[in-house]
Amino acid sequence: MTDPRILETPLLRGLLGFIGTLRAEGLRPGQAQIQAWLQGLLLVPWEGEAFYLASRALLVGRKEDYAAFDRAFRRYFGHLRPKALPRQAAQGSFPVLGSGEAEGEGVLKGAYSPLERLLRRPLEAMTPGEALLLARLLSALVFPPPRFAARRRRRVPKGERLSLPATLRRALRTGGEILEARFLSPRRQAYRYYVLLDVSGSMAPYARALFLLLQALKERGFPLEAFAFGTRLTRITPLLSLRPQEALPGLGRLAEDFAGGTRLGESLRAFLEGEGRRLGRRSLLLVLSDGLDQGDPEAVARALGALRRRVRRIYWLNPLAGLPGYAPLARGMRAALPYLDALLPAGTGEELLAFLRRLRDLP
Amino acid sequence: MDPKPAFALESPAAVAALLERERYIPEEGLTIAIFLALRLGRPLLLEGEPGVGKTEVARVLARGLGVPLVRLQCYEGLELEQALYEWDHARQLLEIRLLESLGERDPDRLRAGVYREEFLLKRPILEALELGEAVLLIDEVDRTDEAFEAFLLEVLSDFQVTIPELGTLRARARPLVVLTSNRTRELHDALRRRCVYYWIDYPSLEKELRIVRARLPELPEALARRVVALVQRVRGLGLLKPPGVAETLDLAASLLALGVGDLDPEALDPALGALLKAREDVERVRQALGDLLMALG
Repeated sequence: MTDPRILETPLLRGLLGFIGTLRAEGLRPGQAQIQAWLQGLLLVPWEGEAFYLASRALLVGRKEDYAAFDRAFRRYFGHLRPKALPRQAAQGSFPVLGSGEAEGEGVLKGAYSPLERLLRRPLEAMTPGEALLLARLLSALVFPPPRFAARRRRRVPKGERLSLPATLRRALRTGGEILEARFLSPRRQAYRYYVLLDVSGSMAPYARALFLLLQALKERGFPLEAFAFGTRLTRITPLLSLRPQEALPGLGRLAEDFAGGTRLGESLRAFLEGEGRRLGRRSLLLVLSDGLDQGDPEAVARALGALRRRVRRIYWLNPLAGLPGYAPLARGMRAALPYLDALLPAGTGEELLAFLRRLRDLP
Repeated sequence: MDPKPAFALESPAAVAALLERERYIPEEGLTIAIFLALRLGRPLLLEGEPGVGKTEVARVLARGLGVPLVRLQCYEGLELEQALYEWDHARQLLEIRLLESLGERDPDRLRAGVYREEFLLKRPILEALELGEAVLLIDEVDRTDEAFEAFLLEVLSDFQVTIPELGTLRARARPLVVLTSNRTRELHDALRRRCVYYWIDYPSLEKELRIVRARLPELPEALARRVVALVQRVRGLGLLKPPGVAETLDLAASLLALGVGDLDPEALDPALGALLKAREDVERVRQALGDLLMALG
């Protein structure tokens, strides 16, 4: 378990980003106000409108500024009133968006600050507002896409190895006189991320939060291709750049089409056939699924075996994997295990954070 | 060290429960603002049109928390002495006479004899600081001048008062300070920044109905609903003095006293005075009343 204080520092940064947005709207809360705000946030529950109302009471000092505050809040946290989401869900019929009443905190209640509580709270128990907040905080934590040193080199003004050809070519401009040396340095490249998000019934409680995480990564500039799968595979990359309130109903409709269940093997196969040629040493494959599969486990193994040879890493994020006593017994999961670089838990904000750290530290 | 806030309520829900026990129906935003003011030990600044129940909030809180309400009514020309403390000069003079008659001649000892706490007339702010567990209502703070506001700022940040003859008096615990303003004058930003802020709007129809029902349970629900709906429309007329919640309650109570069973222009006319406080407004509403009632259906 990580030291909660370490977790809080970046989260703090995520929250403070909002102050910048406020300033852009012409509001200038004082230092003491900001401090009171942060203290206040540790006191109120982050459910319904409480987070919004508390922020407004502590950061705004006159009614005339309410409108500007609302604009900033909407821009930064995505929604003015996260409470309004379920109604939208009724139209978009996304099962994940349900009432969100499930209270899973029990033992945690009062034990931690809301920040830590939010991070440790099971994703499936989150209210839509909390999921959004988590996504917002995670996206503030997300670093720029990490780059790795590729084998090719590029020519640069300063570096470790002199490039004689480049130096001489440069010298031609000055009549053969060498005035400027050119060097070679490894080209740095970003990974390409391929994400397969399971939106079948059993994954419904998690799909929302995981989707928001993908949005956060995409927003940060990660080269990311996303696919949703259940019984079939559908590319959802275009949904990632929409605002959550527009994207989630779309995802919800997909999930409905897939109500039949999960066919892991076929979906992996479809991915391999569609994208296989584009995969390579730069590619990371992330599968977000609980591994509950109604298809043929043999097909899962075959497809993953083929994918394994085409990508740099395969990570499987399973919301259940962090539960005490979890063992990968689901058929699909068991079949996949030998081909994975890691099976990672993804059931709470904290676990998602750990995953983000792993991405960052990738060689 | 800063004095600790005097009250600890564990959640906004606890604040809401407390208010509802006192038959005050709060908006969620107000509940949260009160909760934060209590827990962070910051003053609560309430603004809103006259009659939305700003002062009532402080009263209800004091009752609900079971502590005294100390009220400082502000007005133009309010002096520090009336807000903070005064020496009781008459009694001090008597005391000097008394001491002298007992043969005391040493001026230092005489001075020490009269500048004692018992000769201090404590005014609201000092009183509240001393009580600690109290609600200090600084009502209509917009009516004071800026100098007084600056002084308030000082008291509200340190929660202590220095009396030259006695030394510094510090609050044992932070009282809950509630400031209200009708915005006859713009308050300084420095004061606003020190506070938890909430703008109390006119209540929604459903909410106002709940308030009326809570206060006047004997009024039939159908009539109560029509009264509230009428008042809500009247507020939209752009009157000089739009009626507040207090006026709604007055109107409802008058109808009850007059034994009016349903709203019609004749029955309503004698009760209009309960709703409207300016002659021009009464005229406007009287003219529009037929249409207003028609619109209610």
